Amino acid sequence: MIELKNVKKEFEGRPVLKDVSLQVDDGDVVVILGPSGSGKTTFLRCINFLEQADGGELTIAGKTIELAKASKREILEVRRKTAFVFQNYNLFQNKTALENIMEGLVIAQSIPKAAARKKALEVLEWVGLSDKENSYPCQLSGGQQQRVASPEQWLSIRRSFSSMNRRRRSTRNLWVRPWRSFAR
Amino acid sequence: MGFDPQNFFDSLISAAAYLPRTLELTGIPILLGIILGLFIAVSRVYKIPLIGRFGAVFVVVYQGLPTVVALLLFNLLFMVKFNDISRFFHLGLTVSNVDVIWIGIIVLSLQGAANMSEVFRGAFYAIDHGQYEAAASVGLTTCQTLRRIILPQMLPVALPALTNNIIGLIKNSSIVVAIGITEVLGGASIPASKTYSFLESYIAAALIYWALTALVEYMLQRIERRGHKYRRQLT
Repeated sequence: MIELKNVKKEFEGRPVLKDVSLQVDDGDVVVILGPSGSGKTTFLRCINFLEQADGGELTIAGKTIELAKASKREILEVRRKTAFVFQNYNLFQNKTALENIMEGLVIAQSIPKAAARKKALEVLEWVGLSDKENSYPCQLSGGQQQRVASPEQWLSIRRSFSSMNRRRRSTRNLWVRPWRSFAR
Repeated sequence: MGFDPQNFFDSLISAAAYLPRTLELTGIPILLGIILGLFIAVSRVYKIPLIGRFGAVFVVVYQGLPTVVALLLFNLLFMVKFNDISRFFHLGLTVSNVDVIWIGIIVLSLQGAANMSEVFRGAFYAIDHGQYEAAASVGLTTCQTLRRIILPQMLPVALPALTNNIIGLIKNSSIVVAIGITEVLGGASIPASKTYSFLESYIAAALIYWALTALVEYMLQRIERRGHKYRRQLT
């Protein structure tokens, strides 16, 4: 379960998040809607500490952290448990598709290289990009970059929840399927 | 003032004999300049307290100092103060048994560090901020981000300007004649002291410098091409 309580954030005295609270149960799929500039991204960035919130609490995996006073270690811990797909994907430009997926697993989560490679290859196949494992981000289309960015993040989420449905592997309905199995 | 091939050849041989001195005078400053320059740039970009500020002040001060002036100044300080410093630290060295080439190496290294730190700093700012955020979001530490993501992307950006700086350092090394260090230029002039064939001497020195810089430029361009594999090419 992930719980957020009274998240506050202001930019130069202009409040953006005013006591936002949210509870996400295991298996929940939550969509945050709102007009542009209303603070959706800021809210998510606060959870991941890419933006420092001015107040509020985050409870994740049974641990409660004060958003404004989190230590470096707590921040790293949360980041390694969560996943973030950026609007423009932000793949590591100096790494291939395969290395991009492996990076978080090997370095941040200390999974052995061989196991991480196996996992990453599996995931690349799953998003239909097996033939692009050695391509650099600049050699991938926008859609392909998105598909690399997402499994990179899916992998870390998958560890916290039940494993995803791997039976149907066709790329058809790719973007609907993970969400469905995620909800199960 | 005629051109005598025999004198030219003598100068060339004499200059070539001093090539190791020039290599020493350029190789160490290039290496130290890159290491120190990178260190200063990182501490400034990451705003490391004290060290970052110190680096900024050093760059501003040292870049305003002409190399010849720095050489003469350091040389003077060395001549006047080194014996006292040596005695204070019990180094057991005196002015007479330390090679003056080290003054040249130190001055050129600091020059290189000041110039290269600005090159590296510029390259840091060329990296998309999203790369830092992406690294942070997967849980890489600052050091891991720097080593695995930022530096490999930054170095190819810095390389063209770095090549310029390295070649500048090689050419600048001839300035050490001001404090009496004999290297390629000085070596080329040795035969001329008897024959007055200075034209041939200077042309011989120029030829050796040109060959050295051409070689270094060629090598750096090859490295540059290899670094471009993941950067979108303008076609």
